[in-house]
Amino acid sequence: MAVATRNNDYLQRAPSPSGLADVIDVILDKGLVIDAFVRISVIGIELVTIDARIVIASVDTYLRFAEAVNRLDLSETNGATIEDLGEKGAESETKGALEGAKDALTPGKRQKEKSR
Amino acid sequence: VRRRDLVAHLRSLEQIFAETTVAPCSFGTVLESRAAVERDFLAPRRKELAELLDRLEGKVQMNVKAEYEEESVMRAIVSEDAEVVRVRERARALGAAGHYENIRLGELVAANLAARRARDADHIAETLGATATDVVAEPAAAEGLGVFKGYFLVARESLPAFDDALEQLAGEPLRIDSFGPLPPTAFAGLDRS
Repeated sequence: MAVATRNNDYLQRAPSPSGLADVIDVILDKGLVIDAFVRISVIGIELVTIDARIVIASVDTYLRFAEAVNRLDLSETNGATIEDLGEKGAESETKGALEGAKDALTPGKRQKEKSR
Repeated sequence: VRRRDLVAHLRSLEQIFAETTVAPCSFGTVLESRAAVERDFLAPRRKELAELLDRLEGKVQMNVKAEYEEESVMRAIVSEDAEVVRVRERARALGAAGHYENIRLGELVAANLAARRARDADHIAETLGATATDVVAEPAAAEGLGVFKGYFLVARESLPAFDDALEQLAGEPLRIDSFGPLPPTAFAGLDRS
C-alpha cells in the first residue's frame, strides 16, 4: 500500500482487535462448526454478547437523545428553522414513534416507565 | 472461559494465518485427540474442507464497524427535521416541566436516526462490497448510534481499493473502525446460515 499521509479523523484502523467485544466478534460463533462434537461451555461469554445485543427501547433512550439534541447550540447550526423546512417527510417517518409517545403520555404509566 | 482464552485463540489463528491459508474453527471447539481430529473431522469432510480452503486462499477478512458521532449526527437531524425543531423549542420553553415533550423529542430523533441508519448501512455495504468477494452483515442494532457492523472477505490484492473505500465513507458524522487483515472466521462455516 502506498505510504500516503491519511488524515481522516473519522477512520480508525487496527490490524487486530484488542477490545473484548471486538475479539468476540471475530471468534465467537464464527468459523467451522463441527456438528455433534463437544463444545466447551461458554456460558459466561454468551452472557456478555447477549447483554450487548439486547435492545432496550425505553424512555431512557429517548430522553438521552432529547438531551443530546437539547445540548446543541442552534446558533451554530446552519439556520434550520421551522419556517424554512417542510414537515411531510418527518411526519411519515415518525408515525410509528408517535404511537409509543401516546403510551408514554397516558397518565399512570409514568412511574412504571421511570422505574425501568 | 476468560478473556485471555479468547485472545489466545485469536492470536494462534493469526499466527497460522500469517503463514498459510486457514479455515478457522469456532471458538470452543474441542476434539478428544489428534487421531479423533483426523478420523472424525478431516477424513469424512475432506472434499468440503479442500473446497473451503480453495475459496479462502489469498483472501483476508476485514471487520468493519460504523457509528455516528453523537453531536454531528444530532446537528444534522435538527437541521433537516422540522418536527424535531418544533418539539425541541417546546421542550426548552417548558424547562423542567417538559418531561413528556422530551420523551416525544427523543422519539422523533430515534425515528430519524433509524431511517438515516438504514440508508447509510446500505451505502456502506454496497461501497465496501464492491471491492470484496463476499460480505456478512450483522443485523443492525435498533437503538443507539451504531450504523453498521459487518465482515468482508477481501482478496489481498484488493486491500488498497477496500481501504480507499473506507477512507471515502468515513467522515462527519460517520465514524468507522476497521480491523484486519484477519483470518476469515466469518466465512469458514461450511453452511453459512
